[in-house]
Amino acid sequence: MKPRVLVLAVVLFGGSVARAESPLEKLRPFLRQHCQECHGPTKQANDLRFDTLGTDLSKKETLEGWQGILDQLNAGTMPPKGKPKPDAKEAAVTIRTLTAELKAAYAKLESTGGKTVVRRLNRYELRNSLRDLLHLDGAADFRPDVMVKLEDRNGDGVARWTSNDPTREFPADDLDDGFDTVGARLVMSDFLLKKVISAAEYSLDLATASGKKPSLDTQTFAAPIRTGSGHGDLHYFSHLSDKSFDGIYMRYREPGAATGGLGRVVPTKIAQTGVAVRGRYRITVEASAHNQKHPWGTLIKSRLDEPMLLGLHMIDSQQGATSDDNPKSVKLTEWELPADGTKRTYSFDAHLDAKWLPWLGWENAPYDRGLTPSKLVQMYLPDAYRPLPKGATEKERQQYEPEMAKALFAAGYKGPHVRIFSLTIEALEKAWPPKSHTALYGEKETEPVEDLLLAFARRAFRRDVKPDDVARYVKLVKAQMEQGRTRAEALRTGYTAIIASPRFYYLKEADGPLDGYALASRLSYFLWSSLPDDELLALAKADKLKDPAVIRKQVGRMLDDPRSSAFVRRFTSRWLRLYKLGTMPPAGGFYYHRQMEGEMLKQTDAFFAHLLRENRPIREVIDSDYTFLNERTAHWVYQRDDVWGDGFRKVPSKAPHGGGMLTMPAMMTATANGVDTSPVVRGVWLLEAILGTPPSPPPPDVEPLSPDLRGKKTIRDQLDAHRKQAACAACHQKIDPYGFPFENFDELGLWRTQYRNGGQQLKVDPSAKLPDGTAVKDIAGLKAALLKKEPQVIRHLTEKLLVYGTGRRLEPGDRREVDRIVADLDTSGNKMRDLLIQVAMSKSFVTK
Amino acid sequence: MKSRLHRRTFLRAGGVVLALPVLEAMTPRGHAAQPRKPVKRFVCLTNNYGIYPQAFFPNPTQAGAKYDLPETLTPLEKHKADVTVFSNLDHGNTGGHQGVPVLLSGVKPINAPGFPEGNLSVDQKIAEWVGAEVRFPSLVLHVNEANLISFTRTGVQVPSIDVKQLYKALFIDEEAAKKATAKQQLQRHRSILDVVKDEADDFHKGLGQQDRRKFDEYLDAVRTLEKKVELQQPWVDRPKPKALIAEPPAGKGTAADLKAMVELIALAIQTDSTRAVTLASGFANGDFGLSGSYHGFSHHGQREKEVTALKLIERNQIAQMAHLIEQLKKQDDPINGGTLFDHTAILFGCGMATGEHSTKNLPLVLAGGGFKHGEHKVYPAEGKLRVPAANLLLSILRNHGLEIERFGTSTGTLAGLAVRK
Repeated sequence: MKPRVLVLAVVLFGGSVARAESPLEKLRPFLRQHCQECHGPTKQANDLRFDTLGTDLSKKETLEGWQGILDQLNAGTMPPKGKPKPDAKEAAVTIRTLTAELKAAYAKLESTGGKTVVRRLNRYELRNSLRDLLHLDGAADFRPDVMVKLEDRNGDGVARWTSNDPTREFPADDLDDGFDTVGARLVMSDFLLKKVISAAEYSLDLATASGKKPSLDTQTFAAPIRTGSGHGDLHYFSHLSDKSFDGIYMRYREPGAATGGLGRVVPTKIAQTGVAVRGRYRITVEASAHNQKHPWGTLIKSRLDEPMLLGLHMIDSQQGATSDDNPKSVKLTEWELPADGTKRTYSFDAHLDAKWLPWLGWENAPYDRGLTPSKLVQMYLPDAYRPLPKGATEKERQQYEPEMAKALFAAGYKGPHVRIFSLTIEALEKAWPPKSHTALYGEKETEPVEDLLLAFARRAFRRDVKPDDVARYVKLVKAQMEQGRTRAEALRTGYTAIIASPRFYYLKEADGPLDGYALASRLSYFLWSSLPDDELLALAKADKLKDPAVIRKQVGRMLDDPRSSAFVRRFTSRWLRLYKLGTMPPAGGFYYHRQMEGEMLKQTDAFFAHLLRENRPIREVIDSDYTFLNERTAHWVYQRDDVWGDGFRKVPSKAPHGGGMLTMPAMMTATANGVDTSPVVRGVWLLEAILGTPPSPPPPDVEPLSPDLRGKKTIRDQLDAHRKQAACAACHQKIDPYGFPFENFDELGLWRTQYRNGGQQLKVDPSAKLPDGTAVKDIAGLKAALLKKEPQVIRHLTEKLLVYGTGRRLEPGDRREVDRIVADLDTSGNKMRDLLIQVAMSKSFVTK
Repeated sequence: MKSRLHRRTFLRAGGVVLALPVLEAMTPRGHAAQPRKPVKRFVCLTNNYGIYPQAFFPNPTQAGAKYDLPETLTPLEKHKADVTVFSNLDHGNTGGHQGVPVLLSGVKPINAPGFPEGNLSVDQKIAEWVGAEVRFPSLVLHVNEANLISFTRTGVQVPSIDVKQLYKALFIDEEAAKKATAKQQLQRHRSILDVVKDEADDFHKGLGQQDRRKFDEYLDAVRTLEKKVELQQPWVDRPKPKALIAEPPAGKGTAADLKAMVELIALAIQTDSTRAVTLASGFANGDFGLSGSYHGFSHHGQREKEVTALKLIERNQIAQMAHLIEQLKKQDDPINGGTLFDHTAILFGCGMATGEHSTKNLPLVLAGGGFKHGEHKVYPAEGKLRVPAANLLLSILRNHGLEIERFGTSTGTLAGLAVRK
């Protein structure tokens, strides 16, 4: 015993005296005593020798040597069986020291000197930049929330030919800690360059108008707007009596079943074709709302606690303009209708892609598929009622409901409904040839190519560009024309070359404080994932972006711009690892049929966008007294029926899900594998994403867990080894406790109190003891404990925003800036929008 | 021939491996008149979920020629003398699903920067070596699955095509008008790349040292793409081989699609359209009368229903491997003599061994190619004595004709695996 105590003492004291030498020297006594018998001067088992192992971790062999020692200690496999094991405390000190030293060494190896390495645009940024560069605003698959994944190669081919996303076949970008904006990590290859050229050609084709000028007259559809709709609904029946309006009597989507396209007012005349040209349109609707308070409450369950909401949507005609299952339908806006029966006019301006068309629905209408006119007549107009006789002929059957309906409407429909009188679609700009075309070829198509190329390059290169800078492109275009290509083809070749040029495809930043143009690009790619607009470029040109007050104002403007939805989607997806959604989807069920994946992301978008817009306290990420739900999410995941309609709205949060983002279905699904859940995976996710203290990777030879799903054990039991074995416990006591409280959420985020394994029902135990000793009973307890760590959470979020925005890892030199930001936020209530502004104004952000 | 080899050695010794277009060392532009003999091919069949080990691996005590084929491998009974089953080989990594892309390189994508050839896979290595000798240096294919195993040396995961796209690529000639457009397009791309190259050189000058090192990737990209465009030119005019079968219908379920795909692979080899193929197959809801997902079955937790389903899927994959062997045995090899099977190495393997996320003891079955077969080869199981699976990959590459000393994480060729004759 004695010698060991002495060794320990030497280790402790030795550390405090020796300052210049590496801390690894402190570990030599440990190695001498426990390892060098077999790995020292007399014997070198497996060719490993430790007494001659250096401490210069910048040498790869030295680094690997010490890493090997650490792995063996962590796994508890060395010293081998039959040899005396080191004292547990001693081993722990050694492991701690070694872990810290190796971590620092790796960080140093990967250091880029605190500077962003020149980076290319990632796939998403390329697509958005092409959209803005070529004025393709309305193009359906260039929208911020559309992400066609390359992994979607299950042979159905659907994603391919119905998508006009030019980057749909690009390989995935290289990630650094989940981020795809880190310059040092993004790789360039000839394969990718070829794809970029193809994407450029494809997009230029999209932007080029071809064929005859289509009719662009304003189209007004007066009632009856939708004709030939299904025979089962009141809309159809009301048209039998009165065609002066289209009535909406029910919701267009019900969580439990398909509505078959009912409840939608779609202009039938253009339902197969949509609008002819991609462009900006003004959509005007004349509508009135009736009988929100009504006497038919027994049969018609409608809402009095919310105004009647009329929703305007746009949909791709090519996949079924009235179809429930059409994935290409986007909600544009909704209007609150006063239920006073007065006809009013509502307008909205939107980009519609070619072949898309608008449609209307009453968002929070009642829904009862089984409600027939005869039932209403029977209850409320008993004098006009007669039952359908038994043994009625087919013809009598078919005429029955229409007859009842006639009586119903003749007496005046007293139930709640919306009336649509007309729908007008007006092209806002001179839509032909579209702006995307004239920007490329000129209004008259005879302008000198030099002028066109110069204007294009100015926007593509995001800088002031002189005629000399585009000389090569002019030469290329003229040579093409000499070889017999048309002017348009030649110009497209020139534009393709500009897009393939590093001046477009890379973000060029000189060392030191960024110049105005570089900063304008950094800001626009941060908040819009796309090109800077004219206002930013003008400020850059006037050198005004060096003024923090100007940056502050611009960040505010950019966050208010609709393009910031790219930031909301992109940042949350990277920060919270939501890009993993869809990689291991649950098989079948409502997830697939109700298209829940898209809905889950809309929920996180809605919540996060709210935090930004209203400058809410950052801690609401952990818990809040509200959440955002739409009908499908509420019904299927939260098991609530108090939210109606497809739009996400702010509602009070309720137990057991509670508020905040951590237990939202997107997170719960992304941290599960579609079949079961793991506290380890969720614990690691919480540590990495929220707390910023990721655990060390597992030792290399640990066999993965084979869960026994035949129902004899819970996952908690199976993770017993993590507690019983000291070597495992060292790391896992810091991981597993964060995951156990999440066990009440299954692989889709639904609340459960029991596991359903092979027919046996085992109880979920969500309690845990956190590493700092706090005992938590369940998820509510965990959220409370996390709220106490608010400063840590805020700090980590700040760091993540900086990585995302600067395109590099943070290094020791950034620490002071992060401290400053965090301190500043603390004086103003730690709010989200303020954080964004602080990040954009920070030294780290405005420097390379 | 000798001088080219020397040049390659020189390049490696000089530490310059990535930068130069490797295709430069290849046969003269588009002229396949005198391929190096014997001409070898490589086919890898895989899935993304591993296998059910209890039904796949022969008894470990039955090493050698006298071993019983386990349940999943029984479709290979007829060809037992021509296949080798390996036990206890793997790439020495962990990481469950992250092991899947490692199968043909031994290198995890995240570790690729530490290797001179990155995580280059066997089929892409062969593709580089074959160059423009054939129309398709490699074919990366899928049936109801994502093919995750083919990587270029710059870490690009090569996207895959399905059975219909393969048929079109192999046999459908573009109409004359389209051909003219294709030629025009290649010309246009060359002009574009000329300009881009000059732009890149200017851009490079304005960068600091650290950025320059990174930006070299872009310069390499331009140069390599230029070369590739040049090499593609002759193939535009050359007519494709006549289709020997009708276009297969697709979307008929994995059983039918996989069989059709395997037959197309045999034809591709027969017409010398390619020399390296990888194919990943999976499962579509409804296959074999099963409902569920491959991923779901792989998480069987030892439940009987799921295990049965898994074994059905795997057995079919092995049955199709047997079918491929049969197709190749039936065909004479016009270039080498003998049958196509004699000079085609077929490897069934998975980068993740089991659905329970183990990457230890990978399923590996090798057939054909001119190796000595007929045995169950059991390698040491104890930690220190384990043999890297990359040694098998190196053996395959050397047998293919590449005179290289190492590949990925190999420590040498695979001991105990000999070549016939």
